[in-house]
Amino acid sequence: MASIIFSNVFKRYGTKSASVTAVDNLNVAIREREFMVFVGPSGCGKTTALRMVAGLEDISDGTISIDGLIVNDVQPRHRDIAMVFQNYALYPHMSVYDNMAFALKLRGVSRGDIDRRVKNASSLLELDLYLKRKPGALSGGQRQRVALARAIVREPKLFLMDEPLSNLDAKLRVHTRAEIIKLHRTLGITTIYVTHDQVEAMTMGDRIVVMRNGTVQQCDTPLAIYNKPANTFVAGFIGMPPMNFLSASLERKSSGGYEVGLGSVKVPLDCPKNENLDRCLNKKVVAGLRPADIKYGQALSSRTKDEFINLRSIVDIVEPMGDVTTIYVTAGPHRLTAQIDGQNKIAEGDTLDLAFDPSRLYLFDEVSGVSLL
Amino acid sequence: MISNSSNETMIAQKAPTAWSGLLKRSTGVSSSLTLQQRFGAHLILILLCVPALLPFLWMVATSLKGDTQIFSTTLTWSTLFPYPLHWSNYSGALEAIPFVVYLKNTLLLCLVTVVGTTFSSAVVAYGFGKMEFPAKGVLFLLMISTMALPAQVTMVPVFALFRWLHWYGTYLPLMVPSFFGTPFYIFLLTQFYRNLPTTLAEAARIDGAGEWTIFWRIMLPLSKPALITCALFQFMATWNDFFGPLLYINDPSKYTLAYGLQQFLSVHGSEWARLMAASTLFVLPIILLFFLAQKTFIQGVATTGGKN
Repeated sequence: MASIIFSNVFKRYGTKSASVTAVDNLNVAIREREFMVFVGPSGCGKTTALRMVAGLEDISDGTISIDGLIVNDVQPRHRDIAMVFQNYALYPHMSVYDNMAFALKLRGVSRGDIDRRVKNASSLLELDLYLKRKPGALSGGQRQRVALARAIVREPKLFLMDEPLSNLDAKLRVHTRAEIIKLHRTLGITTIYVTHDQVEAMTMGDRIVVMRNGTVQQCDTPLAIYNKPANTFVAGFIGMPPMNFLSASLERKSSGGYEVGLGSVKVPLDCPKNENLDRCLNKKVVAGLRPADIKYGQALSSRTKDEFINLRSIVDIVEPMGDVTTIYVTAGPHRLTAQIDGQNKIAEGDTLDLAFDPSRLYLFDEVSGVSLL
Repeated sequence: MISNSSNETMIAQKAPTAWSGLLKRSTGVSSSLTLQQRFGAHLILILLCVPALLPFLWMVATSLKGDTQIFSTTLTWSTLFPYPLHWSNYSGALEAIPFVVYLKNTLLLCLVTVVGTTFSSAVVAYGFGKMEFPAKGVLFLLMISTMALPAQVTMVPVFALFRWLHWYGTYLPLMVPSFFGTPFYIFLLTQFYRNLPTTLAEAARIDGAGEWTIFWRIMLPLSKPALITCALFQFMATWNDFFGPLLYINDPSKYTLAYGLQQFLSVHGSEWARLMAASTLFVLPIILLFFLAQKTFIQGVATTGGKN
């Protein structure tokens, strides 16, 4: 089991005069046995960061250390890591058994030991029946499991996974996701998992690193990131459907405290005096509201009705999902997405009284996008 | 039962459509042509084949003729279909020159050059296709540009070099260069390697493989179709090579078949019938090889274009 530390890591491509920075001053410490997820949109530098840990990319600046040892100049084969690739990268001309045994053979492990370890890994991932098959004769899910088994059989101190589920269909993805989590719980091997899917990040990670344009936006536990996003990017990226962003103004209440103006609606903020908020007083800010925090119908009790802020809205689009229904509405000058109970009978054009808890409102600086709360 | 019978009916109804679809797919363009059009197309194709086939047919026909038939000035059916057939020309040809010795020499050269060229070209191509090193682009261009040089241009200096090395009169000038790669095959294989997923090499690197192991155990087995294509090309080139043995071989016991055939003109006078019989025997393996390896040959050329 290993701990990994990224310390002021940069990755630049191209010449000095015309270079592109793929990873920009990455500072992250991953603990032993941790399942760390790097998440972000395409081109945010998450895969590059992973490849630098693997030794497949040179580090332009800074250091990466595994278990306290700086590995910048250590060959991939000497890092004691195993990697699962997005396209699995199984050797097409070798059987499943040989794919799994390849790394062990190169390390001079005895034949008996290889056989035992391959059999153990294959039974763990239910691949016993396919050991003699070539990867071409397997389904996508089976290939994925072989890729995982190939990594497990090495018994490395660090797993690197580069979007391993992105080539699977939705159902299989959910199933394999659970398998990987189970595997991590069983083996307890430190894992760095790269994905662009925020659902995978939320469900799998002990902690999540949200990246954008090569920089870390936030690094925390899934719930902390969901509840206290550092900026508008994180707030919009984590959570499905994405958070609603509304143009608002920040004012001081006559009785003291703060008040957010959403058009004609005034939302009192129940929070202590805050330097960030004081700086933005009487200025425009961005208010954030998660679709799941907008309530309707039976979700509103008589007590909450009084405390909640009412938003009279006209329904534009209805997307029923069964358990929940996503509705796209217009509330005054604002366009909102709301996620309400699937049992509500709603049609396009309906006028609804939606409401939200003012304590669930997020506030961000209009220019920098940084959270004010 | 009801559902079964209705299923059967459905299958029965669907079957003709499915079959006709399959037939359409398999026959391709020809299925969209009428019988007359198809006949016309075949006629044109056959006529186009005639100029290519005529010299070959003439060779086979001549190999079965007697002297009087060969020198007959009138052009009749018997020019291409002689009667009586002189099969003795073949046994005569085999006795007139040491055919088996030449065949052995040729096969030895073929074996060495095929192995040497294919392997060395693959090594160089892997470097160009999958590795990063300074001035790669310039070196690749330089290598490609050597294809533009006709052999005649380098013939004299190369001959002088091999003579200086005391290789004249041995097979070394014909064998050794093949171990340094052939630009055309390097180009062909480089394209193939470029299209193989880089993640395979990366996976192997993480698994603990060095560059040589990646090449030998991952990339080389995967490039089998392209390697077979190169091997076939090289086999034909060595089998047909007249120029190389002419320049470097002076001992008749070391002659190859392609070079040995000329003895029918020089040593035994102009024995056309035997020369043609020996020539027919000479081209037979190439024709057989092509028919046997036709699929691999075409597939290989197609895959070198870029299949992941």
